[in-house]
Amino acid sequence: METERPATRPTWAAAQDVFAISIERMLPRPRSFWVFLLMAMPVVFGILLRIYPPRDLPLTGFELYGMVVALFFVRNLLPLVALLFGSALISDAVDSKTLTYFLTRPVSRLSIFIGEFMAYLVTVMTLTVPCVVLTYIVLSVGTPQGAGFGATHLVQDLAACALTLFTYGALFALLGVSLKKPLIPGLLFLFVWEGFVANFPGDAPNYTLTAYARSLIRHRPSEEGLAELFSKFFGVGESVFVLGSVGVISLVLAIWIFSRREYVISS
Amino acid sequence: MNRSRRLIVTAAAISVLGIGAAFSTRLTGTARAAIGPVPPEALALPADSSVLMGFDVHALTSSDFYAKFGNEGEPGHVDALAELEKKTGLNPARDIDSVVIALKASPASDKAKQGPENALIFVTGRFDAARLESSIPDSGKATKERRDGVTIYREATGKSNGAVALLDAGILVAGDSASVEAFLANRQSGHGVRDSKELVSLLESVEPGSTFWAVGGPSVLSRATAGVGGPAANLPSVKQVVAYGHLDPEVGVTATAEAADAKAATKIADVLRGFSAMLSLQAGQKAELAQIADSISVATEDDKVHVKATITHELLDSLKKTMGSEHRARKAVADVEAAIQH
Repeated sequence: METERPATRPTWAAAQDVFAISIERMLPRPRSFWVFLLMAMPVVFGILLRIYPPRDLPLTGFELYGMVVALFFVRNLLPLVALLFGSALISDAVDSKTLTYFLTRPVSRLSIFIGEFMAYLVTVMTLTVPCVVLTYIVLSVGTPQGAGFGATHLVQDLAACALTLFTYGALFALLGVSLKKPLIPGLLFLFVWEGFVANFPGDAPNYTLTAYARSLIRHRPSEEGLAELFSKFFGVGESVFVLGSVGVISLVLAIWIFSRREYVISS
Repeated sequence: MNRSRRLIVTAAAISVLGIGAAFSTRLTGTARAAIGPVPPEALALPADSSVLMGFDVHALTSSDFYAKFGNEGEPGHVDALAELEKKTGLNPARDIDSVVIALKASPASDKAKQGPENALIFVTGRFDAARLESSIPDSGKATKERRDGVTIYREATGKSNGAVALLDAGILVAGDSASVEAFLANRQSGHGVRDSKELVSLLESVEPGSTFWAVGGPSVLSRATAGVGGPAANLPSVKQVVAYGHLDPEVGVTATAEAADAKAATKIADVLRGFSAMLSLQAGQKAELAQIADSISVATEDDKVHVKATITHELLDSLKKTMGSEHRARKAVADVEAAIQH
C-alpha cells in the first residue's frame, strides 16, 4: 500500500514554527546566560566608574561609551558571540534531536535554516541590545553632556551591532554547515585575520569585516599614534553594503550547502 | 515559548525604556530652550553671523589649567578677559559666567568695517550697573539711555561707534551700536540664531559641557585661509567648521571641518598630517613637539575632516619651560650683541 506524502508547508509559516522551537532551545540556556554576563560587564564597570570616578579620566562618559561599543562590542565580543551561536546553529539542532524532528516533518530545509537563523538573531539581539543601552545610560546620565546628547548615536550603534551580528552570524553559520569542527577555524579567523590584518597599513583592512564594522561607530575618540596612522575607516554606505553583501552571500551559500548535505541522525 | 518570550519582552522593555529616556532628555531637557552651548537669552544674536564662538568663563577660571597657565604671557591667559577687566572693572573669575561672541563677515571690499566692530559680545554673569558706570573711564564721554528696561551706554567721543547694553543684572551685550540695536530688536521680535538652520545644526553638534567652542560658515573661513601664506593658502575651501574642547584634566580640542567633497577633505587631512609629521621631525630639538604630534589625530569621513588633539598639562608645562629658557638664551645673545656694538 502506497502512503501519500503530506504536502510541504509554506516556507514562511514553517520557518515561524521552526523559530518557535529553536528560540526555546537557544535563549533560555546556560550558554546564553554566560554570554549575557560577558555582555553586561561594561554596565558593571560603568556603575563602578560612576561610583568611584578616577580623578584624571581623560574621557567624557559619552566618549567612553563610544570606545566600549567600538572596541568591546563590535570589534571583539559580538563576532565571538556570533561564532558561538552561529557555528552551532545546525550542530546544536542535531545534538538536541530537533533536526530529526524537523526533517521528519513536511518542512523544507530552507524553512528550517531560516527559522534557525531567525532564532539566532533574536537570541543574540536579546542579549546584546539591553547591555548596549544600559552601558549608554550608565555612562551618560548625570554627565555634563547628559543622556540626550548621543541618543541618535545610540540608535545607530544598535543598528551597527545588529548588522555585525547578522554578517558574522551568517558567515559562521556557513562555516558551521561546511566544517565538522568550525570553532577552531572560526577563532583563528577572528583573532588572526580580523585581529591583525585589520590594523595593517595599506589596503589589507579592505579584506576584513571588522574594519567595516568598526567604521559604523563614528563617534568614538580617534585613535592616536600608529593605530591612527594604520587604521582604515570606510564610509557608512560602503560599510553597510559590504557587511550586508557578505552576510547575504554567506547565508545563501549556507542554505545551499545545508539543503544538499546528508545528516546521519544517531539514535 | 513562555520562557523565551519573557526574556525577549524583558530585554525589549529595558531597551525601549533606555532609548526613550535618552530621547526624552534630548527633547525635554534644558537643551530645548537653548541651542547647543548658546543660552536661551543669547538666541537674539544675529542669524547671519559668520562665526559664533564662546567660552564658559566660570569653568575656565576655576580650572586647574587656568591656575597653572593663566598668568600674563602664558598659554591660558585670555587677553580679551584682561581687556574687559581693564575697561569695565568686571572681574572674570567673580563676575562673569559665560561669553558668546558673534562675528559677522563684512563684504570683502569693505575693508574699513573689518575688525572688532563686527563682533557682538554677549556676556552672562553678575553685573552691578553702578560699579559698571563708575568703572567706565571718562564716564562723561559715554551717554546713557534707558529703554524698555535696558540700560544702553554709548561711546560719546565719536572715536568709535561702540555700545554696551545692560539687559538686566545678569546679561550684558557689547558691540557696535547698530549690532546692539539689532540684538535688542531681535529680542523683542523673537528673531535671531534660530532663523538660521545651518547655524542651529552646527551649534547642536557642539558637545555640551565644552569649556570653549566655535562654529563657522564659509565666508569667514575662506577669507582666513586666503589671508594666510604657505601651504594653507592652497587648502581647499572649507564649508563649515565646528570646534570645541575642554581644559581639565588635560587640554582637549575636537574639530570637524566640512569640505566641498571627499577629495578636498582628504587634501585637508593630508596637509594636517604633514604638519603633524613636521612637528615630529623637530623632536630632536624639542622632544615635546613629538608628543604634541602624537596627540593630534586626523581622520576623514566622506567630505568631513575630524581633528582631535589632547595635550596634558605636564606637556604644556614642559613646553613652556623649554620655550622660556630659549627666550632667555636669545635675549642674552641679543644683550651681548648690543653690548659689543656699543
